[in-house]
Amino acid sequence: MSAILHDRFINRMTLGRWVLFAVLGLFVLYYLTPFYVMTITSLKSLDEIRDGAFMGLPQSVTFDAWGKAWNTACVGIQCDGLKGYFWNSVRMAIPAVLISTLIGAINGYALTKWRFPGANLIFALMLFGCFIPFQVVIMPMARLLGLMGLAGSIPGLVLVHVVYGIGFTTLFFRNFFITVPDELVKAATMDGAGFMTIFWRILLPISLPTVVVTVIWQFTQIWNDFLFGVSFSAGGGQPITVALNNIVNSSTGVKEYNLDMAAAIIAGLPTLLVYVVAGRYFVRGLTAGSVKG
Amino acid sequence: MASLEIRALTKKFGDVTVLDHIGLVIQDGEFLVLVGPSGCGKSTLLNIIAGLESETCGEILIDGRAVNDVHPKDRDIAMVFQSYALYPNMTVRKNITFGLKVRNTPGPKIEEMLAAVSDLLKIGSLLDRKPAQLSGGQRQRVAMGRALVRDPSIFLFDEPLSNLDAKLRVEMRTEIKKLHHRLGTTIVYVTHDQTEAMNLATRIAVLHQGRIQQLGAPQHLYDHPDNLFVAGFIGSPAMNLLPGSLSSSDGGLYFRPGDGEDLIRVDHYPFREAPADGAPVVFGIRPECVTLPREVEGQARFEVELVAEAVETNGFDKHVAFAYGASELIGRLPAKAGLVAGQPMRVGFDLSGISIFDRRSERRL
Amino acid sequence: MEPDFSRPDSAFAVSRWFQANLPRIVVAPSFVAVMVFVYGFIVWTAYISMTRSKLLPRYDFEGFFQYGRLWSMDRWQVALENLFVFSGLFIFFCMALGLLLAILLDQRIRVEGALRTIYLYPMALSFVVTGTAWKWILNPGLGIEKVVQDLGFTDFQFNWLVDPDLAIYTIVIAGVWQSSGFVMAMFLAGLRSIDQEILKAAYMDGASLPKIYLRIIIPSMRPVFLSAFVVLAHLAIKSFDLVIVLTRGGPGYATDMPATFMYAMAFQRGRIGLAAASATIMLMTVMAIMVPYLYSELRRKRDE
Repeated sequence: MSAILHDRFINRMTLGRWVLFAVLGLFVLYYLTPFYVMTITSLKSLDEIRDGAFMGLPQSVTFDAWGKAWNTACVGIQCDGLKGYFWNSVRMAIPAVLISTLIGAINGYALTKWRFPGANLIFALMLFGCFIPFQVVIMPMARLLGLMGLAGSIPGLVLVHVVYGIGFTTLFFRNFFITVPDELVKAATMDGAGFMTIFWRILLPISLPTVVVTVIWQFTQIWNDFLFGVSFSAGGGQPITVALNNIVNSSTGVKEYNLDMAAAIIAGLPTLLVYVVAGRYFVRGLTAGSVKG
Repeated sequence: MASLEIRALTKKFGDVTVLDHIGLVIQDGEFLVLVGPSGCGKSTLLNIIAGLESETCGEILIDGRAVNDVHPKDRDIAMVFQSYALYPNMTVRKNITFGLKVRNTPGPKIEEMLAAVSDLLKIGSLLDRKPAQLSGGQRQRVAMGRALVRDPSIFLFDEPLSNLDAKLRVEMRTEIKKLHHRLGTTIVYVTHDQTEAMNLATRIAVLHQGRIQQLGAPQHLYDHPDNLFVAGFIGSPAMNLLPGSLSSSDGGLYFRPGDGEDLIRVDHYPFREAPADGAPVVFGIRPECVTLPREVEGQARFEVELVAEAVETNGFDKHVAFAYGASELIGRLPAKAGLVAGQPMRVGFDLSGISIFDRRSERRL
Repeated sequence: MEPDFSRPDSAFAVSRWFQANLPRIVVAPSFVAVMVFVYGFIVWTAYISMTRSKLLPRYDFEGFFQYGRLWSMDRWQVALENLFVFSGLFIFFCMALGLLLAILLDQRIRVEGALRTIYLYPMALSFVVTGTAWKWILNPGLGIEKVVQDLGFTDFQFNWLVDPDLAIYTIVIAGVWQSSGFVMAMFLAGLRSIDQEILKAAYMDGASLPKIYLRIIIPSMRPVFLSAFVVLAHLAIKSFDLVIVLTRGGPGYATDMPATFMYAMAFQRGRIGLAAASATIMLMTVMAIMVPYLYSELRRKRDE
């Protein structure tokens, strides 16, 4: 809102100001409550959960549920905790993020700064790939991964995430490089630099903020993915989101809510951390990914 | 240093002809300015000379050698861009030496060349800054440094001053002029600003609709514009152009403006070809030749009573808009001339430097 | 030294061709990947939807037989109905909440940055994680129900999660909680991009604050509404994780959606022809929304 409207309308209304803060505060509670409930529940013993207050702070804080979630919780028939699945997700996300970001950067560069006939069509085809419901590709993908011997493996998931991430990463970099003046490339060409030299020495270094946005976006997407994980992985090779779902929805034995909550927090922690540390870039990615072009 | 020749150069984007059979010979050491309104093809021409865009047909020769298929980096040309195009991630030092490093110039040689250029342009204190930390004028200097350091045989400038404020533009103009005197390198310089063109060029090529309208020394273009476009484009305020016709009576040749009654004697005008009686023409007279009667010297003169409609003062003189028949006529009067808008006054035309054009072909008669 | 191009040196010619086509060469792998993994796979799925494939694909063309079967299935009807109810409520509440929060936050709040961070954090989390939390909160017996009962309302019942008629609304609750902050961010960006001079002009004309919002600000954000709608519709059609975690499509198949229906047919029931038909319908639905939107966006860009 402009300074003038603010000065003219808002500052005069002290009462209105209080109402405004009260409403905003209520929404803070609304958004934070689930996280609060998760945290306190994960720190309670099962007995206290059954008998104590739902919203109350734990009477005695215990990290048992956390230890169990990490080390011994049963995912399906195996009872080794989440740790293996956590590392599966790490081993899947890191290469997939790096590869798809690099490919997106080169694509964006080639499509904007070396416009060849058909470049726009290629971009449009890639962009469209971002919007398909993945249900339409998971069956053939599953068969192909099987044929390639990658079914149920981490490299298979990396391949899937790279392939379906290219559209977005290319979009991010294209939107940035299109704002870089063509004269920069012309100047470097006159200086004697070629396609790759210009990319590595000039355009990639100046696109650092876009790299950050893309890496964060891709990391969040890939880490949080469930559909590909549940469709293309099995047993001990599953990513953490799938393992979490298996714990939460297991129908055997006593329901350990504190364990579920601890497991959920563990699964959510990496992306939450990224969000807290680099929220600005995260929001930029969100809006760039939604308000297309 | 080198000469540059362009032969029958044509550039088409689809069906649109941007450059139409351009022919130009630029001598070694010349400062040629390509000037024209936006969209006239001047920047395209420059890019083709640089090798950044390809020609549809025609030839480009540097020192007599065709370079059409030579990569820009091997043409021995350097270019200064409108946006300066400094590499934002590199310091000034790296910006300047990037081209040398890419070409594997030995380190000591690079240092030597860098020192020479930073001395010449007085940018020694800026070497470790990034472009974002520089002012417009400083960026301009660095951009020139990057071009100079390679010691190319031809310099190309693409509207290098248009992003600077008015005062700095004048300063840098002088700077570039001095640089040309000192280095004597062949320069091709593109601008849309005719004042800049007049100030800098040894020769000007006026480009319009993909063709060279006129090529010549600045003063020649000013005094003898070849056609109506050049007449209107060169000079500020622009030349007054009055439509009318020629008529001979009493043994003299006269210009009769529009449907007016005035007869302006043009016997002295060096017609290139004998005009027909009653021929429709456009009569061109520079604003400085429309002034107070006492300021006009010489025989070729004309006096008329006109009403001043608007007066603009700019210190050393006044620009006055007069109504003359259906046309408007701009005159330049001495600053001290007492005049009031809306009042009729005597105005004198100095006819020694007029131009007359054929109204149909728009060419100079 | 100037290379001599007239000499027929094949190695040199190859390298020159390579240099000239480098931009195409680097894009080619991605292009091929997209053609195969997106368009090729879509064609495969669309074709399979016209066969009698069950556990394994069969390639004999059978026409639209699977589609007829699909539309006659009660479970598919329920899935579509759920999608309709869910998207409608989800989009409406996300937009309403998002717009309200954006306008409130736009009043030059000193702690705006912190508030924005709080409103938006669910978006960084997986639906699986937030679904787990909501499953616990909505748990009949131990969740909200117990909170209210502990307050003294001992008759209070809140068992939507296990009620076949109401379970779908729990998914709406969790979905809105997760995505409304994102809509707020979009609207806030829209509010910030409004030409300030227009607001000054409106103020000089004597418009009141609500009037300025209703008559000038909100109408000028039409493109943002459209974008938010498209993003939310897209999210709704693709919603899978949240349903699986919260209700697994149950009780029974009361909360099935096309995405979960397709998954069940493809990977659990071994009816891939039917799964392909449902996936194809999902694609069509998304395209019906996205294609006009992208087209108009691109046209708008070109006009500007």
